[in-house]
Amino acid sequence: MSILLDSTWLKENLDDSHFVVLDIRSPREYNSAHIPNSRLVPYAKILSFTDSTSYFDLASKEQIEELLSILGINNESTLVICGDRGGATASRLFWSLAYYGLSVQFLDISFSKWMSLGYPVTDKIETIENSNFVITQSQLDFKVDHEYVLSKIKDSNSILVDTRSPEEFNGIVAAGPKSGRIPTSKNFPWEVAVGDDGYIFKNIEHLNSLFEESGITKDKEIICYCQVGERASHTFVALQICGYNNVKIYDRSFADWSTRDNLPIES
Amino acid sequence: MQQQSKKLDLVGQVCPWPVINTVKELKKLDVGEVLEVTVDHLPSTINIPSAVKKDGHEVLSSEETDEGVFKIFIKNNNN
Repeated sequence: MSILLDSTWLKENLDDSHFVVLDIRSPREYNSAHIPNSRLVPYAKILSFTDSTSYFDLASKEQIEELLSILGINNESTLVICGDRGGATASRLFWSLAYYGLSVQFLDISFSKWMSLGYPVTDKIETIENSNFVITQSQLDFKVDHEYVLSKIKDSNSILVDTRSPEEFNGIVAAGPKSGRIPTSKNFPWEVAVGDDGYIFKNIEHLNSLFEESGITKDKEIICYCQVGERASHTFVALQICGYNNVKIYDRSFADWSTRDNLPIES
Repeated sequence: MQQQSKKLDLVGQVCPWPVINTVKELKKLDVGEVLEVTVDHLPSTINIPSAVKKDGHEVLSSEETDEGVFKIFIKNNNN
């Protein structure tokens, strides 16, 4: 199954109940207009965090089951992610569901683009009948922690990819308490993979050449990180689209790394 | 009620801009003034406090005022 779902196909098949669009934009944006029959996913529901932590964790299996049950999803559904603002938040949703082995696709264009094309939208909020969604698949090897990353810093079989901006990578600005990067990381700013004209990703040929030019090769294990694991998710999906089959995210990312004692930081 | 000297509307912005723009705006405030930051990007509710505290600023409060919209009040303690 292709990761990207052709928006022109979806437009013609909105009544196919097998496909359920999950909209991760803000509630205000969703309430204003959304794809008919799509379901709003509150961002907080796919994360696990407390006021005292500086990072976000992936929601637990039980949290995801509860969310999908409230959204009326059944186990035969194919989930289609819809987002905006470049698609980083939507990518985090994609990664979260893919981690639990769920069948997920990504709408190839942003909601703004969908609107601008005059494709069907509504402000009607459908009543949803709850389901009883149970995750039966095994978790996939898509997530690592700081200890794993530390063990890979000098491993020639692994590549650490910092998906933040060059300014953050070089320690000029910080989106958290400390500036700098994880040693030996390569910088691949996530926006580089964002497509033109409302497309969430560049085409596969372009993505492949960008990754190869950056020294991110398919024979290595790729570990993506950013500040809190959102931008890294976009790069994760882009790599998956290109057929990289050993890609992981350090989801707590630099927000976690930079607040732990004795972990090396380069700038 | 919070003392308000300046409002910063960052609705629609995603990582890393809410943090960078908040830090930039705080530099324009006098010590003791309060910045009211509005965001609708959940990670920013953790990133912004985390970033400004290291500069000595004080986060007075952070709350969800509307579905998915958050207001963070920051007192400038360091110029």
